[in-house]
Amino acid sequence: MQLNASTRRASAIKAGSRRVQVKVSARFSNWREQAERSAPSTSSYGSSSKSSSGVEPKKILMMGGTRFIGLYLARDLIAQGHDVTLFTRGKKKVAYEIPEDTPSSFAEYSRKIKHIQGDRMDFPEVERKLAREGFQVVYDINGREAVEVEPVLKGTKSTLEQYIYCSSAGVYLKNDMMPHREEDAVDPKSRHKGKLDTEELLRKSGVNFTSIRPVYIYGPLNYNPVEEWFFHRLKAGRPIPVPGSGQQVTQLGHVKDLSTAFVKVLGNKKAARQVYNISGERFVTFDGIAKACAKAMGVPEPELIHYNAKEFDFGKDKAFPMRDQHFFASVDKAMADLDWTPEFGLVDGLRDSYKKDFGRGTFRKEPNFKCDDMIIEAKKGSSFSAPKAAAASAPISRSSWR
Amino acid sequence: MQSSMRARVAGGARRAVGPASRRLTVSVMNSNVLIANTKGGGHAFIGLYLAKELLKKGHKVTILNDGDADKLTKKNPYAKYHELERQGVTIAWGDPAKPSTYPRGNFDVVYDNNGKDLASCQPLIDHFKHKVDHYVFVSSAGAYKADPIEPMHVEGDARKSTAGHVEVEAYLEKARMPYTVFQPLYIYGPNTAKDCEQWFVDRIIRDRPVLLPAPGIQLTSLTHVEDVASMLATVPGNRAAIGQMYNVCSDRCITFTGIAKAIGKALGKDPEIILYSPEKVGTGKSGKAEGFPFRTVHFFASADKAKRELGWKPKHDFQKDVQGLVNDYKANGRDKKEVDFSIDDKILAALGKSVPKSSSSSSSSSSFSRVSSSSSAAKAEELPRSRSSFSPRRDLKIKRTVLPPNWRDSLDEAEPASAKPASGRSATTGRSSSVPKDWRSAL
Repeated sequence: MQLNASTRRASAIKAGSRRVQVKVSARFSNWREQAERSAPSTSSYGSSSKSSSGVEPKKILMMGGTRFIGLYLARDLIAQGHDVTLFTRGKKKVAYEIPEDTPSSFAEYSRKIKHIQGDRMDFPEVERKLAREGFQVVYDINGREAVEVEPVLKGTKSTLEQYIYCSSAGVYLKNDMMPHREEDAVDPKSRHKGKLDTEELLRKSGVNFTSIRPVYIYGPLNYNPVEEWFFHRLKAGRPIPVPGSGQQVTQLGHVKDLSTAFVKVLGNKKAARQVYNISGERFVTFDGIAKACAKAMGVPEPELIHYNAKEFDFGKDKAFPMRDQHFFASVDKAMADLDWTPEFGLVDGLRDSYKKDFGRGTFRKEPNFKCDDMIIEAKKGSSFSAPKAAAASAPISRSSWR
Repeated sequence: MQSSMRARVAGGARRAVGPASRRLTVSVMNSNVLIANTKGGGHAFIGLYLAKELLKKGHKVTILNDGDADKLTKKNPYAKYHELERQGVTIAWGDPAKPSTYPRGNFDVVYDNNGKDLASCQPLIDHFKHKVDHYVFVSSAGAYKADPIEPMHVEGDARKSTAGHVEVEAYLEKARMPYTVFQPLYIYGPNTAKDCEQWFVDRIIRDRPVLLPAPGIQLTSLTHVEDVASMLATVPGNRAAIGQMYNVCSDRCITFTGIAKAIGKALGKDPEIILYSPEKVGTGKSGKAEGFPFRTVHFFASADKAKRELGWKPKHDFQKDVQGLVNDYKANGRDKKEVDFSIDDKILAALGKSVPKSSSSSSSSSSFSRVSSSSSAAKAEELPRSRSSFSPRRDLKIKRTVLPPNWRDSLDEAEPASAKPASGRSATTGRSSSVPKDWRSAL
């Protein structure tokens, strides 16, 4: 803040008389962090484009924040100078290092991040713990049902300025005309009905809310096996089974772009009571994702096996990580209103995810090739010998990958 | 004249006429626009609608149409040109490749809605090289290279280097013309010269199966011609568009099955959709399927750039328009016309499915009528002789089908409703009265 004043003064002097040599003052104790933040640095939290929002610092409550989206969002918000508190059960450490961090950025983050321990499903507890905290903005990242939102609204009633909710593009009703746009019909029977109900509640409550509907999110530390599912198979040299024709069109959005969009909503008058689709700018076919993941990993294009999902009974196992239908949404509205542009293209984003997560040997779910083997066997018969076919249905041990 | 001079001086700036109360500030400056229009195909009616749109904006419009006036004005869209003439549009008939046929005038803006390659475009470009404020080339999004990973076409994406349109674009760039290139996809609407959704209506309204190249979920952009015209009409006076390329399409695309379902809904029918592989039945490959109106791969584009830079917005929505399109189809009597389903039958036979007794909604009289669609008749020549699945008449290599599609009805009254599978030669048991003995003389 102080540095801004000095640069303003400096530029004023400069405008007045060109002979005066202007030196930016180095007096302030936090100038190193400021410089770090404004210079393009190794940590992505230092990029100048993020620290120039011009929004005054707010007291922010984040419901969640220790799993995926919130990890990046909380860091972005703190880098912007906001006061951020995470509300979690405390099962995971409030601040732990992620691949994006540099030692100094993480040190600052862990110093500044605050925490309220509690179970958001215990509604009276939530209301009690939030009362008198004075939160101005709420980022509700992990809310599922409408009832979960009420106590948060009540607890922050006197000071709340903006409620920003992480919904899902899964609420859209399936349609032959694509892409999904924010004004499209929603599906009251969808698996994400809770998100719809929450949006409805926020609308009715009269609060200044914004709802963000991401499509498929990916990036380092993704707990949903989207890119991970492909990476496992590519690494194992296995063919990739794709349902149907592989021509289904969908969309992936990098978690960092999503986080940037969330930050841009803050204090944005255009976003009041609006819904925004957030994801990558381009759409991709199922076959395309497999190929893009291979490119990101630097391995040759995989063999794709197309199958009719109706001919199989996979039981409870998921044979493919995505819904078998066209599923993509237009992000024009967000790009226009929020002045937001996704930075990651598909292959670049997958490369980022691979470099910082899977490529380092970390992943969330052990691979399960049971469904793959059923499909391969049906399609190719016993003559096909999949790599490591001996251990067909057992999950591959980690040592066998290296 | 004066207005066009002033327009040139002002660098082509235009302002629409304000309301009467602001008479003092009004100065109507309109452009003198020349549209070189093509003689057929999917782009043919762009000229008609663009002229209307430009007139609305107060510009002076001249159309130079390629082709023979007498022949073309018998059909749409050219048949509607007299409406334009009544509104003050000058219609000239000539040849865009021959500058001597160009209409006289000092044109501010030229639209080339005719040429598809350098040979056909160059004369027009060279003639107007230093004479216009703005040169618009109506190209095609078909010039994009198909990308199987990220199918949506965005301006700047790779183009097919061999495409004729691409040559023209390069020439415009090299000649440093003040150009704008528009790339439309499939266009629908009244008065078109080329069928779009009508292919689906032909089949659904006659209760025939709709044969779609598998998987049927391919996405395609269908844009209403009025939206195309309104985007093209934003050019006069818009210097920001110079040197730019824009996709011309609705901001929504639709699947093949979606088109069939929407039309079925508008007709109150449940279409029977059969998916087939053009490669396997031998009717096509690499993006094309014989007899199918669209490319068989995803073919849709982003309209963002036009929305952002030209302030354009599509007003139409195919699902909302479809009822009107179906009504137009019926109002034009197309439901009574004969349609050549020979390719459909060929495909059905190859799939081992029964070829339906085509039920045109009008009871076809016993007299012959030449089948209206000529394109598939030409293709009938290419049918390999070995295919015994065709009707016996085809083996005789008749060049044009002269039998009514329901000729089988007349063969044998006792024949069961489900037609015998056509794999073997079905015995044609004698003639019946609806097939006159001298049918060969009608050839």
